[in-house]
Amino acid sequence: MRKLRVTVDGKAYEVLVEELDGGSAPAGTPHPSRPATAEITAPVVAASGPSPSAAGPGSIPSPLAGRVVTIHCAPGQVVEAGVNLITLEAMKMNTFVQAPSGGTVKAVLVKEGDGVEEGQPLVTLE
Amino acid sequence: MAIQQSKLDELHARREAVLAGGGKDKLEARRKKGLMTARDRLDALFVPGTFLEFGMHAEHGCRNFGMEKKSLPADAVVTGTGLVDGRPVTSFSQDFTVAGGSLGGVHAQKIVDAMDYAVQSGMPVVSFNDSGGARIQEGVESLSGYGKVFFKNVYLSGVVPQIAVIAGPCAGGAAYSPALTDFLIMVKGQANMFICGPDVILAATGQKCTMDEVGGAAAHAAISGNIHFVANDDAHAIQLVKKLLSFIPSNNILDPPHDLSVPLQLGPDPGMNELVPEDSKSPLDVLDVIARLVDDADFFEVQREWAKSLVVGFARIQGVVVGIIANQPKVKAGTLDIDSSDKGARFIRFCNIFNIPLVTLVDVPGFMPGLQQERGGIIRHGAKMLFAYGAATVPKITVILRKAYGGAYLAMCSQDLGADFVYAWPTAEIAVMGAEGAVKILYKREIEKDPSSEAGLIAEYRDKFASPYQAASRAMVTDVIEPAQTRAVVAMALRNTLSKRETRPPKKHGNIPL
Repeated sequence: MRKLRVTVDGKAYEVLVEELDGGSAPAGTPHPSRPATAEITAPVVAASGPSPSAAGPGSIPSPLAGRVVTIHCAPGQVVEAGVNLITLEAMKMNTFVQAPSGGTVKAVLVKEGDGVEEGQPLVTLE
Repeated sequence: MAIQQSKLDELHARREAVLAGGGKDKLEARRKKGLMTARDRLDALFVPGTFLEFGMHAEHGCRNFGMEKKSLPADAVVTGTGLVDGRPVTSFSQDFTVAGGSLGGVHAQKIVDAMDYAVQSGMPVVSFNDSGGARIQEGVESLSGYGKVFFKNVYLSGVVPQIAVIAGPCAGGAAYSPALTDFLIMVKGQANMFICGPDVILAATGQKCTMDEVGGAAAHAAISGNIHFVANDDAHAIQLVKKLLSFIPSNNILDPPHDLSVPLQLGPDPGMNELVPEDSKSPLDVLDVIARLVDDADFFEVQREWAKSLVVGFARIQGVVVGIIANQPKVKAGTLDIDSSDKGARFIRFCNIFNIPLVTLVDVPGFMPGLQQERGGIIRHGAKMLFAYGAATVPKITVILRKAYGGAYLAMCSQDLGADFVYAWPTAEIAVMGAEGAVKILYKREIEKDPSSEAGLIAEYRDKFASPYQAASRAMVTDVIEPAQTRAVVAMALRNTLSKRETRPPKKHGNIPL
């Protein structure tokens, strides 16, 4: 066991760290001590996702039914992946529609105030 | 005086033949492809030297199609028990190098015997599924073997945890044994799982599809929701098994592996206050809240890729193992829909079986509206959340972060559903419906007469009801707390409920709407 002090956002935490030796069998312990770490990885999204039929290649579908509040992009604009393209409002909450990859905005298919259906194409990217 | 050397030689020769499985060349070929063998998987799972094998000398009894001349070492499945992080675990691992890992009568009997052993001794079962399917030469005996394994899966369900690793093919009926377990882990690339493959689908329906679309790990993780974790390779799958086991007890009468020796930290966490957006319409990433709430930001998320508007997973809060169920406002506004209700209900029921306290983080605007949802049976599916929470007798701690509207508020473990403690942030909006909708009903005539009055009425309603204080005034909330207090307060609530015992009228089981 090693005692360490870890500071998170200015607050100090004292933690005990146990080094686990995979080779020894701590027989008889009823419970494991701190777990082996295992990262959860994201799978590559399957090719045939429930992508709406209306959305062609490069078109970004609405994730849910709602109303267009703000359009943050214009045709011809070059955008990076993760940039907010459109803000929708639905169910008392804003939902940001982000660029899945970098590219150029080819067309914006809705205008502010429009109601949109789930899966309706909002923007096409090139 | 010593044992005859010839007896030892025979034993060693027999053992060596069984350990070689389908042949040393086949084992090496697998390893070259980056795949573990059936025994490699068990070696990686168990602490070295602790594995006790069952039925190593098993042989099939098939007398058809020339099978009587063939020897199938261990009958294509290695079974036994050993220690994982110091705790006994039973495992069976199908050997694809022996007759394609096919399941015959003896193979099935070995699996069933191992499971019987596990349930009698109260230990988890971890399976490695890697099999071409039924051993056709054995005819209906192999089919019966599947039936016996399924029956045993059901018999064990709710008594000891069952974890299935899909490490190779798992086709047709074979897929139903993993499906009856608690958690499924699939190895990306090398595993597939399906009832009818692309060829059968094409022949029967004319639909063209690929194996990845039908039965790949990504499809099952993100679309069908059939599995819980995706592993990059065999070694990663085994890491995930160990991590999962570190949160759960060996059987349903034990407590999970809490670590109550950690000193309680009851000071505030100002960073939690800073996470909360000023505007109630700005989405808050609930994973950020969870990271601050749990020990070492170590949250083991279950079914991360599926039904993402609800987040579920395991963690410890100041040493206490918990199952966390949280709305994710970043996805579909945090609404409960058909899939997220199924996901949440199943997770809650697992935690309840294995004495794992539930911590529910609420930010839900309602159930997902839509024709598809209604016709798809959102009533039946949403009811699973109510049923699972209502039936759960483990400690139930609920924290209402922001939105808590209508039936969805109840379905996120309100006090009425038996929560032991309900905390609300000052940003909580606990109401029967949103202000816009409520005002249209309450003041229909007034608004028809004077449409300009609507905005004022909405603001008035929101002030009065879109807050935690009306619910708090009716004792539906234990206390309204600063977000900064959340970790300390939840930790104390957990310590205060660990000895909770709730008994209900005896019955076979409730009738959860399926």
